[in-house]
Amino acid sequence: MDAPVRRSTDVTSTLTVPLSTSRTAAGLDFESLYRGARDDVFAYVATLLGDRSAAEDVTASAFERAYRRQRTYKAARGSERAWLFGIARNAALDELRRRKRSAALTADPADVDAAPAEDAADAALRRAALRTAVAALPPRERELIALKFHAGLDNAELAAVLGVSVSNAGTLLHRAVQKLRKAIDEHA
Amino acid sequence: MSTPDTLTRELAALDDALAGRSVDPDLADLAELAVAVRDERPAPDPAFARALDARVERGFARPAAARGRRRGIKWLSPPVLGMAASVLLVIVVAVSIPKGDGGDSGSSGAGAGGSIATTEPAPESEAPSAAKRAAPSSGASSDSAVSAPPSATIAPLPTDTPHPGGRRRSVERSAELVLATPAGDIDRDARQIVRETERLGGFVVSSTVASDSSAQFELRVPERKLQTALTRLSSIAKVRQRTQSAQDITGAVVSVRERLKDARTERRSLLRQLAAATTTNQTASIRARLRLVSGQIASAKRDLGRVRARAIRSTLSVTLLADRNRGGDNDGAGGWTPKDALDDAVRILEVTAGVLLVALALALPLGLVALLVWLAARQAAQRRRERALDAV
Repeated sequence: MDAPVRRSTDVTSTLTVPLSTSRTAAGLDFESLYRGARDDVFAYVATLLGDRSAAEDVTASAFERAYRRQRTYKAARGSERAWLFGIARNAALDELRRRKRSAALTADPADVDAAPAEDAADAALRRAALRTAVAALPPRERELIALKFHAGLDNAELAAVLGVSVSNAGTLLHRAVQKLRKAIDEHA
Repeated sequence: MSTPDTLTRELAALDDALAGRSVDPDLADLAELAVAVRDERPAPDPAFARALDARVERGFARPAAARGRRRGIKWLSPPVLGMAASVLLVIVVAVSIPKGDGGDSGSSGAGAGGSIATTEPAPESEAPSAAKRAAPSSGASSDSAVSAPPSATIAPLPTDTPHPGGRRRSVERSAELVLATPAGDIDRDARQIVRETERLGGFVVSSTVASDSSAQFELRVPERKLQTALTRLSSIAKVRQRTQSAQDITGAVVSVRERLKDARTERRSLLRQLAAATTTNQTASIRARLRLVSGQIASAKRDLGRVRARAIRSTLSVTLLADRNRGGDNDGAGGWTPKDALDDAVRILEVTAGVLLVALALALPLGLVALLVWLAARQAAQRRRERALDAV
């Protein structure tokens, strides 16, 4: 009896990257890295910059830099995601330096026109308060929140991106969460 | 202030909440917050996502002009610039290092390099250049020396030129020759040097021959045959160094002649006085004076002979050295044997290794400095980036 052929399921799009550039000698699979991190990088950059348009530019720039430097990736220095977010972080900070202006969060306004039900209204208010609190955080804490909750990095990756120890990264993250809770409480 | 345990628990609760795992009831609000923050993450616009997907698919292709520009800028990174500067410096140093070991070019042909031709300045008013020597100032003595590489044609030294007073100038010439020959040929070549010297009408003033190591000769050859002697002796063995010098001794010759002339004039006067003398005392006094003057004349004649001999015969110093790089027959006829080739190859390797060593000695510290500068620049750039976070 023939063995069943395994096929991919739920594939909505395919990405074709030349094989010669898909995987480097260091073992970096850029295609899968891009697929798995595109939205995370955007979310992190958008939260840090507070500007979706700039976030798109920076995200594209970060992936382009990563694509061109993929041969410089060394697995011994950390995970692929940590390497990628290090590049994205530099690109975002370059953007901040270039702009030299405040990066106020330009989150979408709460959808109040939909006349939501009472529960839905409460939820919308809570979400708005949360966005405002995140945007009001100092940039360093906002970056930690973005890396942890929006980009989905674990603490080790967080430490690698920020260039600190894992325990220090945990401490910084905890402090940022405390500040966020306090900010939400104040808004509430 | 959170205790370490609390911190660890809350961080673990955050991870559990994000992973969809249950958390302790007292940390439920924290877990709720974590999920809420995660759910608020900005999502990219689908159009942007599609455009980025397409760019990735194309490999972030750029227009050709931009590619070239970027590639050029990429190559100008600090470490590359530093290394380029190091390499440039090394090349400059390597090129400026004199080739060879002072004229010993091995056995493959005429020597390259050798001693650098120098001209010593004249001690008096005359300059050593050929033009000056051709028309020296009256009564001044001068000397000059020319040291030439073995393969070079030595410029003719000043010849006797008419003195402004009508006499020819007197020039004392000397030369030094350093020859290299295989150790086993020292005795044979030493005999040949003596033979050639005698054949040219010269003679050996002194000689020291140490078989298998070196020989030293001081020769006198007729001044007119000095060039011929140099040519013939140079053909005996490989020339390591050849130096010629010339000293204008016209002043010394003129001085001695004047002394002789004055003494003769005085003697003639004394003889006339002696003929006219009338008393015994006068006669005795003049005779004593005549004896003195005769002595002066004899001394002046001896001096004149010596100083003329300096101009008539040239001094030629010949040093014959054992050439350690040549073990075979040195007939100068270009017999290039496999052993010669091996010697040359070893020599080339030695020189190459020396140049590489010098290059390495220069490149290492320079490369290190370039690396440190690059690291410092990188760190400074990262600090500037970090400051952007504080400035927001």
